[in-house]
Amino acid sequence: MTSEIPSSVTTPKTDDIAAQVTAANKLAVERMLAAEPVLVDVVNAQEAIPELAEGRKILHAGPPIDWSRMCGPMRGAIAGIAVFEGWAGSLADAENMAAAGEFEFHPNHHFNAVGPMTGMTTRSQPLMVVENRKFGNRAFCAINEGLGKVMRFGGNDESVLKRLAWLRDVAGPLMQQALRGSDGVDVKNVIARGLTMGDEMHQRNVACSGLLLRELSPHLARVSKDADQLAELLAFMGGNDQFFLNVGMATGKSIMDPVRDIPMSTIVTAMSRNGTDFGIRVSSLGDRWFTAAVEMPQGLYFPGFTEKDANPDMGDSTIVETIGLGGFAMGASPAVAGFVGAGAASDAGNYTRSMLDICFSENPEWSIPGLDYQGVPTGIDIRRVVDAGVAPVINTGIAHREPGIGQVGAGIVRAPMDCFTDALEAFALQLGI
Amino acid sequence: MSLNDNKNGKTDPIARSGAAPLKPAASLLNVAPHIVNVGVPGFAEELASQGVSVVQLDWRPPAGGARLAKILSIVGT
Repeated sequence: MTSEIPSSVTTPKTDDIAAQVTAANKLAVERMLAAEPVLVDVVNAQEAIPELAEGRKILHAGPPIDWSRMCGPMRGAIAGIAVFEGWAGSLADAENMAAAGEFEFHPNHHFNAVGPMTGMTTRSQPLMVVENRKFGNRAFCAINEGLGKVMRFGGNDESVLKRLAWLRDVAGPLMQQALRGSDGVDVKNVIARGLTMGDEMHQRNVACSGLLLRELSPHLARVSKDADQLAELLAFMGGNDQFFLNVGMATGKSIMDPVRDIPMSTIVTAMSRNGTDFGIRVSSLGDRWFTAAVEMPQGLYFPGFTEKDANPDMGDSTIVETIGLGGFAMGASPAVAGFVGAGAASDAGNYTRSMLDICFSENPEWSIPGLDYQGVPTGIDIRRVVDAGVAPVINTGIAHREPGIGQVGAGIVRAPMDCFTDALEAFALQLGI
Repeated sequence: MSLNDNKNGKTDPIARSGAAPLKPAASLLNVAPHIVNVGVPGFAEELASQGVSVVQLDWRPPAGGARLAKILSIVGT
């Protein structure tokens, strides 16, 4: 860390607690704004996270959860990834092994990683690496699988596993060579431009995906020795509007990890959900998760599906809201307001304005032209969430509640208020209030 | 529309008679009410069920209760 914690915030005095919290939160937001996230590499998961090399460890989205409480898509993904890793001969075997406790389950967040929806991370997957060059920390996220039937929505059939094998054997190594032959991709800059092009980086990533493809293409062409493989990868990236999402998520994780463990700070460092529980972490409250039952997204469904098919909210992707994007940047993306059923395009700015009420500051480098260059709301402050009674808004995909079917819609969901009131109570208890 | 006007925009008959102008409070008896219900929505729902026009304002006490309000008074917002 290049920033030092002012000594004044390490020894609280009861008469100026509020001033010390404000000072600590100012430091937290300064670290967020000083971050320099760069996409630098793609590496094998057990190289990125050595702990994955031993045993049968499966990292998942959200706060900790046991097999018995996991939702349908999460179970489907776990069964699929166990077959993919060669730990089980069939999906049925994998489920039996999971129920018998033969796999270790851990949150991605405990290993500097994040994953969308079910968020499967295991030893042999290629992980994208975003390095925060200001603070020297790295964050990891798997490569986005594309649309349709995919593991992040609980898909686990042969087509899903075949795509994962292609990502491992073809896409990952090519991206690795390309990135190692480059200076890396300045993600902060890509996001700044994406905001001016109608992306909010959660449910709309079409601009950033295109910008990323433009950055990577020359380097991919330079290292590829097989024109067909190169064409297949370029088509895969170019055909997936959400390709950038996973890069944005690793970026969010790389920005927020240096904000952890600042004494007296009430800034939220992670929001995440596993399909059963929603959890948040707060800077001064260590690694503790504050959880509550996750809510059901309200949104629009693809033809043939209704809310009866929907699974409760899921994924580590709320790390993008934690850094002021997604639902917080809805004002940049009137198109996404319609896609997620959030109302008229003219309503989009209201979501961003309401999130300013619960954040400590704004980000002048990530501004929204349509809101007179308003910076995105930055630094969710649990004090302000509780005081305003306004919960963070999240743009999200909606998974089918049964494993193996995939995405059935998109919508918005609120973080449960209990996470924030519980965290504030814990903060007060820590101070002896 | 002044406070002495009724809902059709016509001048109140008492005011028109040449008597002293009504005080604002007295006009409550002569004009259709404009109702805003703050907080608990049950009151608004009851009026709406009787065909009365009412605007519901979603409001709740700050901080969700005395304990949290006390914490916020110390840690600030």
